[in-house]
Amino acid sequence: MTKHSPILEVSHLHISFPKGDERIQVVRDLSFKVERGRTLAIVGESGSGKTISSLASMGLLPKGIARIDQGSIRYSGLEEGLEHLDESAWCGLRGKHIAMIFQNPMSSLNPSLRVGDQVFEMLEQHQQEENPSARKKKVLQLFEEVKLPSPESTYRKYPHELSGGQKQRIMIAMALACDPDVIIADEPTTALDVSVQKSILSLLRHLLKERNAGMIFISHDLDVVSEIADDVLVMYRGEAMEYGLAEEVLLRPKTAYTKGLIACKPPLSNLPERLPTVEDFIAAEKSGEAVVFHPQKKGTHHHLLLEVKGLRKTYPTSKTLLGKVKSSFTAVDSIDFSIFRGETLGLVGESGCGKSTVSRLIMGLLEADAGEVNYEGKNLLSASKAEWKVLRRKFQLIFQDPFSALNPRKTVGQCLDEVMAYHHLHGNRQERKLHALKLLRQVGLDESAWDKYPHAFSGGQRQRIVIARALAVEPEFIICDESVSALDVSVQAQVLNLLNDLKDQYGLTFLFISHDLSVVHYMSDRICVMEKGEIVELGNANQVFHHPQDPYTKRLIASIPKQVLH
Amino acid sequence: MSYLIQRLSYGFLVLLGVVFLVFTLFSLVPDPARELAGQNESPEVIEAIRKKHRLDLPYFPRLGYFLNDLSPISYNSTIEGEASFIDLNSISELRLFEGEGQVLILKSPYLGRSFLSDRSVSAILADALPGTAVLALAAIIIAMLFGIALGVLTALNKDTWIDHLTMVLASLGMSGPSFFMAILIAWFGGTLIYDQVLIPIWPIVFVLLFFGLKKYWAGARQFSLMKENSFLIGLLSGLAVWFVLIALKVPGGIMYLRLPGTGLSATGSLYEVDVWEGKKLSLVNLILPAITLGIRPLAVIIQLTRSSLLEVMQEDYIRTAYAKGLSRQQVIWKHAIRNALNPVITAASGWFASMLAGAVFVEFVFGWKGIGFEVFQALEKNDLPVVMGAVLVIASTFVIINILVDLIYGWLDPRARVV
Repeated sequence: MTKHSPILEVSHLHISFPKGDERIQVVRDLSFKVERGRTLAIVGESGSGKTISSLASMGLLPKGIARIDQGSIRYSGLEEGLEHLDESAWCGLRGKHIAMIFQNPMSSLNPSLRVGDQVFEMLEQHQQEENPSARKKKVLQLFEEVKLPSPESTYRKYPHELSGGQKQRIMIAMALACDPDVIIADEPTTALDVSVQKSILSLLRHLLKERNAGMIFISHDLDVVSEIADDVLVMYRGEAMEYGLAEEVLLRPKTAYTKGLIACKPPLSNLPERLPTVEDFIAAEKSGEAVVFHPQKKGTHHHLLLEVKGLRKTYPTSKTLLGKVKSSFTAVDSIDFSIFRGETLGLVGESGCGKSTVSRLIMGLLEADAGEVNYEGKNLLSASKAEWKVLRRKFQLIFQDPFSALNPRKTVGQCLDEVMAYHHLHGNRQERKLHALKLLRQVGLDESAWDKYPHAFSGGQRQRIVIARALAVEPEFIICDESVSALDVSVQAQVLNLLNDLKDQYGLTFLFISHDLSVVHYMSDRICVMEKGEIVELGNANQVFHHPQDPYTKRLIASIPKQVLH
Repeated sequence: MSYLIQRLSYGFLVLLGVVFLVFTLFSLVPDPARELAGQNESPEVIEAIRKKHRLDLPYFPRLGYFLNDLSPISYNSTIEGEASFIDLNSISELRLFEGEGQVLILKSPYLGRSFLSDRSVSAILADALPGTAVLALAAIIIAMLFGIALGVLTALNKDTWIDHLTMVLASLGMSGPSFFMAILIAWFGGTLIYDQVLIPIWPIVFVLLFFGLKKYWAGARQFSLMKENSFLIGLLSGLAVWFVLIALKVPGGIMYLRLPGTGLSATGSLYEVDVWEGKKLSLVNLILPAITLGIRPLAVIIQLTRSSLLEVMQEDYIRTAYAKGLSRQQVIWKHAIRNALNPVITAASGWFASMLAGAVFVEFVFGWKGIGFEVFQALEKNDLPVVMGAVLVIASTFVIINILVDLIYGWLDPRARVV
């Protein structure tokens, strides 16, 4: 590619994990180079081996479990290959020459130490600067560089006093403290809101250019990658699928997997009726036909189903001695909207804007302070317990985390049977089972799933089970609260397609809640944008997305990473 | 600050509840007047005793007068023989208002006098409290020091024989009933190894031998069973040899390592009364009861420290610490231990209060003069004022310590700061 000599070079790396008596290969024959001033993005879905291979370059593979079987990792400052390094040599290298930024800034900082001291420790460990006061000055200077507000007071704060974005800035300051040659960033923006993600990405790019360091940027999100990467390595099941210059790989992908990965994310314009999946591309490659797109048509609906009027919810932040509320935080501030039968209303906003509170208020899982939720003319907030039992059947909620939404001690069959039996649906036990099996087929699962436990399934499959459970009671209205946020993009496309199919088939109405604007745009007929507990914009999906009126919506849409062209 | 006031007022309610409960329970048992009269059984004497201790009054007035005595501000009579009489000579008070034979006074809570000895309950408790406090403190210090040390040791040597052995001993310590443990330790420490400690020499020799062989076999592939369990195999074979030699009556078969004995007596108090020297402090007596009282919290602290440290070692910020280039030792001591100890210290401080309650048994078995000892005696004689006083002291300690624990937790874990 370029004539520069690489600072980090991985060649023919094989890594394995034990499974029973055998060892399974999690990384096979992986080679890549990191050069000064360039960013290499490693892209792949969960389980593709992208994190493991980066941990290997840090000497942080789980001890006694993961093993490097073959291959070498060479760092330019060192004669010896890193795979042979002993622990004390690693201690001199980690942080000083190769530094890492982790995925989750919330849990990656020690909760009981001041953030300044945690960065200070990095300098102290590698004997940077002469004395403590010089080190402290350096920390403050780093805080200035990563654009943290008032470095002096931030120095003395504990992690829980900072926002997610600020914590990630601390992590970046820590990684850059000793001016390392290589920085490994493992999904550094995945846990953050889009607008924060945008600023973190531009900060990283700027600081790397300044220091002329190389970076390995690990991500599952191709759009983010297209913003930051010079080179791209696509991994699938432990192997490199494609490796080359970013423009080459992203604009002219050669393998079906990469093509699918790029196409399965909802595009910003020219929405297809169904999202293409990786499987579509692999099948198309085999048969030699091209993948066909049908343009999507957004509908308009007129029959009012659910009406929210002046809904309000506050949480007390401090109380007087007698339990009287002194001050409170308004999570949802007198909002109004309505949902028409057969439509999908998208609800978007950044974390903390109150969108999940809205869903819980509608479901009756939280008590509202004021307002009305009218479902076909009946106010839910004043409904009795008996009325709710009937209503619960018509209302279903699909949660974000498919791992915690299923009881691990119940089989899939018990799970589905339980809800039907509770609402006395579908006759006796035998008939219920027949119906459940039909549902499992409909959500794309095998009938053999009936007597398996949830742990036997992947995240995407579990979300299908959750969907089947929601459908088992023949609901009219389904709230999807970040239902696809925890899934890989290719799985996300499948689940979104499934939701749309079922909507047509059963005549469902959706309230689709997400922080991801492009997904909401694809799914919804109308979009409702929330900020700080208030609705700032509500309108037809295309209208809101392409011609936003409110400054907040404009900002939100501007921070979506510009997409890879199809 | 408002949090503190809230907690204090809850504590006050708890104490009120305790008073009510103990008082009600005692109103159900036959009154001790007859017993107090001793051999002088004339009805006049018994009636006088009943009147003196307000035992002649119905339940509610009696409770009312009792609460009046406890209250810092009270309205009392100065005429002896009246129900609300208080002997102003026996307390130090601030008179707020004086009337004819009546006073409104500000005083410290008045706990009355013992039915039995007629001594002021406050004086009895003041005498007994240091003994119990020292005992509980020593026990919790033993438990914390050894518990945390052993807990960290087992966590860092997870799945080795150190870990297994300590965990077995810890579950023994936790499951042994306290009265049984007390008697066992008193007998073992105070009698069995009083003069000298005899340790059979063969098991030690064999354990050392097998450890030596382990090093020698280090390169060999076979003997894996021997290598992994060298301590246990050495110990068992040593014991076997020892028994065989005893059984065969081989001269010199019973070889002992002779260590000096403990020289500890099975009973004793913080202050020993000597005929010639009078009252003197003897801290040696503390050792056995403190171990007994501390053994259960010790076992719990070991397990808690171990599991907490193992959990913390899996946290993301531990990986961050490694990524900084810190060595394993540094990661453990600078980042893991403090976070792991938060729940341990909170739990242990909470136990300090329950140690006071647990002390009752231990004090009885070891004849240690403390609150528990007094309660035990008072219970036997239905001596309500003493029992009530002791229960109130223990309950107040609970309340105060629980508030302190919250503050300690806030200090350790910045996320939990409340005040």
